[in-house]
Amino acid sequence: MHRERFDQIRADFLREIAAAGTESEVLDIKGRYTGKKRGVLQELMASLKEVAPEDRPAFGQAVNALKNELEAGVDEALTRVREAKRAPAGLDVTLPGLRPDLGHLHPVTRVRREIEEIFISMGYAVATGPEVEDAYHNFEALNTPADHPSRDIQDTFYIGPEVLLRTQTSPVQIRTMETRRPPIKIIAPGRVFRRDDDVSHSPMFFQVEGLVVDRGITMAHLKGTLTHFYSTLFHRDVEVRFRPSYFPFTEPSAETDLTCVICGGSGCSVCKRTGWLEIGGCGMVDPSVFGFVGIDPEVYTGFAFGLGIDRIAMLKYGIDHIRHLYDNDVRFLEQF
Amino acid sequence: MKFPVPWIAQYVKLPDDESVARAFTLSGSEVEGQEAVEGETVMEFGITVNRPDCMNVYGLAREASVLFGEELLPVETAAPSSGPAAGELTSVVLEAPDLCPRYRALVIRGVKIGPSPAWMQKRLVQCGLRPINAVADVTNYVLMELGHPLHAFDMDTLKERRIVVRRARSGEKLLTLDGVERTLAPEHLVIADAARPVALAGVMGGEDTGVTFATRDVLLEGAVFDPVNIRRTSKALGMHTDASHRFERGVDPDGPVAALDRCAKLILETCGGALAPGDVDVYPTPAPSREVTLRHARLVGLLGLEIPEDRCESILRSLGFSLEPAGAGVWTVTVPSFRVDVSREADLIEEVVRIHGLDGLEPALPQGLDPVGGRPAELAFEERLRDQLVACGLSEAIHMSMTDPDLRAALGESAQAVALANPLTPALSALRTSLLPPLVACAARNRSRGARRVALFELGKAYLPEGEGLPREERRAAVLLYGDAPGKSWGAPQAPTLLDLKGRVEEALGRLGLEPSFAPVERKPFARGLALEVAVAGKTVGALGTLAPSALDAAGLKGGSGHYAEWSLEGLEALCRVPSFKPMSRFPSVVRDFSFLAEKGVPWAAIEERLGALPLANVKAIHLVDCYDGEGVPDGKRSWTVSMVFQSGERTLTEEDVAPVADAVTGALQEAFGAVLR
Repeated sequence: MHRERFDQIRADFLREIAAAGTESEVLDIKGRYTGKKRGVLQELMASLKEVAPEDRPAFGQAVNALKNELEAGVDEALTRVREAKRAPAGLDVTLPGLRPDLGHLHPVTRVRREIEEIFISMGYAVATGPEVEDAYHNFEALNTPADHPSRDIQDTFYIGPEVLLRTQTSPVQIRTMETRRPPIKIIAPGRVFRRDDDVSHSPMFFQVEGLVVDRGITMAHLKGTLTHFYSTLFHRDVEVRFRPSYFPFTEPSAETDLTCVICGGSGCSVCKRTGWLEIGGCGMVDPSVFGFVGIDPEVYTGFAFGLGIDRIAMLKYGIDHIRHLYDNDVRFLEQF
Repeated sequence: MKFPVPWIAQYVKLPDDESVARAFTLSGSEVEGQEAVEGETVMEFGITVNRPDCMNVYGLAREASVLFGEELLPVETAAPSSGPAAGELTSVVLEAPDLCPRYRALVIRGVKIGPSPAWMQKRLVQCGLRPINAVADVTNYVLMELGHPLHAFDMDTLKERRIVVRRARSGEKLLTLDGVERTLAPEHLVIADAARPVALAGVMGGEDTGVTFATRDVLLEGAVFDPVNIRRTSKALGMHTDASHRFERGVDPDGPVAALDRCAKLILETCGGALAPGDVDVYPTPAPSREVTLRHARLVGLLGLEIPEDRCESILRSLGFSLEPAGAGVWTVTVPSFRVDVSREADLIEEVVRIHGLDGLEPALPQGLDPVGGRPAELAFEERLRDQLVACGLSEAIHMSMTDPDLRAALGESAQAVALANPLTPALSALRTSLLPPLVACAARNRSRGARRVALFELGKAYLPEGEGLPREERRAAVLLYGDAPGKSWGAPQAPTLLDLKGRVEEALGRLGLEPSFAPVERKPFARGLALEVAVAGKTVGALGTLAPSALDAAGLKGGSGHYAEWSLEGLEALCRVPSFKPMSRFPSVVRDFSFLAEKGVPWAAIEERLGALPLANVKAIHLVDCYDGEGVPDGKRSWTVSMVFQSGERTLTEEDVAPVADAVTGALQEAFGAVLR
């Protein structure tokens, strides 16, 4: 008979507490059930004297148990209504996130930084030089005399007879060696200019020049340096192949070929089915270049290399036309 | 340069085409392509400028003989001769031996000239040449075969049937084979007869003295000319010919012997006639033989590759060099006359390695003490600035350094610019003196493609002419905000304003430890009253503002507003302050807002300055909260809300601390601006 009464109280409480939506409603329910004055449980306890003496201990324990149960229910309801009050209701969580309006680095900058950082990690200093150069630094001191056909290799923009837009970053080699003695270990990234405009040529583009001069520098060091560099840049083990070539300021000179980073050397459209990518030029510093800057080629040897940042950016990101790089279409820039 | 493979194979045994192409490519004469012409493989060779000896069939055969270890067959040159000796039939006077070290002539009389034989025409066509007549074709054939340019004169057209090699006289005229009448000057070397120039030496023959189908007697010329003079002449006259291409790279001084003999033999075979015995060979100062010392230790030390001594020897010998031992691991190497590119030890080392191959190079890294690396401070600063500008919502643009002078003028850029002497197009003919022209042009391009908002920055140089020498190159940063639409995420702010731009510049520089200050200024290309000078550490570095409508029009930007900032980066890296920690107070702060109406003309700078001049005890910060002059504000007034934060590092502040300051603020605002507290 008592059991029915207990069940009734529990059921009433649970119904009311579930319906409570605010903190005050919950507190009101709490007062009515567990309050010290005229609470439902208080009245229940007051009826103890009507219970048979031998049943009284069990009755008392049952009331206490119910009390604990109701108090737990109240706490839970309080947490619920308080959280509901602090959280905004009705947010459509499927809406797109509000993205902060950040900008994008140019892909040439991204690649240039990657290149610089790999070389910096190998102890190279970053060097710069003027973009409007004199013919002496751009050609003559690089063993490319006036009236020599090697000047035709690069079609040059001239400002005046002896002033031009540099056609290569190589003059930075000369400017560095004019002011510093070996050991020298630099890279020189920057703009270069050639009178050329097609799918893979832009009248302005970016190169990185590298120069190491010290005692005992060999062509094997050149190969090791480039192998490490390209493997790091493309995140895979690449093989570097040297193909003999001609540059006025290196001897021996070589074209640098790289196992194709697209197909891994099995042949694809990017490497024209050869498995190799022609990616830059390099060689051992020509003794006559050392002659121009007063470094004794019997004491010191050195290597130099050059590569196109644009070409690497195009390879790395699959950009099909160099024009995109300097057009600065925001739909292009926002992809990087 | 195109050469048919079977022609090369006439002089050396060759493997399959693929092996041939690969071997040439890996030894420095890249095979850039191949095609079938008249049923035979023709390869396109990319021959570097230092290897004129490879610009012919026999030179390539010589290379192949080394690469494949096959015998190089000799060129047949022996021809029967008869009649009076050449020296009795003609003479050669060398008046300019500095420009023509050697001139050799042969005479063939009584030829009957028709078309050349089909086999010869096929070879010429394969090399990309057009057959003309048998004699002209033979000279071209020998040019392709042996690489030495030759010329044939119709002897009857030569006045006094003799040759004078001299500088042209000022104003002398010559009708060249291309049908153009050239006016000559003393810097041009000509081949003349007794009276007049008959050929532009080493470049092109004359129309009047060339061989025709009617020619009976032929004078054959094989000469050596000064490369620099040929190059200057061909450049100055815009005449790049097969002959000038080879002469300006340097020819074998002994070339006139073998090539001319070969030519005579082929003319006799195709046109008949009688070769006069002997020759006229004017060669006053024969080229000395070139001897170069090669040290094996130097070779190994430079390459980092151990190529055995006997291998080095055999490579050089097979290439035509002769070697004499000159001590242990040292040789005296005599260079063959046809290798005009070899004069130093480094050149010999390249020869060895070119044939030996570089595949054996084991990659290694330089050992020893590394110099200190890294970016110099100014470049490190640029990288940090780029990152800050990206964080401020700007994307990086990179434009050409060349820009359009018309656009510069339309934008009101009057500073003199560096002009290119040979631009590709007028639109890229001046070096920029500011980053504005390329950036506004870029905004216009983007706009025309439908972009409604462009937020770009660029770091690059302005090129400022400075007297005679190189221009001054100033590193600059520029920001352009243009548009009439929200940002790229939904719900983002509306079209950018000048204050968006100013805030970005303040934030980006501020984060790098620079404190820019701004002062109103009037200047192009900005709208009146909407521009500020930017200064760092008291020094003006640039300006920002809203672009004037005329500037937008100049760029072709219609609709929307544009805001532009540009400043110099020179020296900024040295002004960056490292953050200096200030302890945070343990005591609570008190915030007091002041809302008031002031005259509309009162600028924020004046309010800020007036407040800053007060003795504001315990005021930690002053913020502008709101500035409004729309609905609900009386005409001619502007409503301001300024917030002040009071805080002490020593105790909790009370009303007694704040009230007197608040009264002073109120009083000052009333007194200075007639401000009415709301």
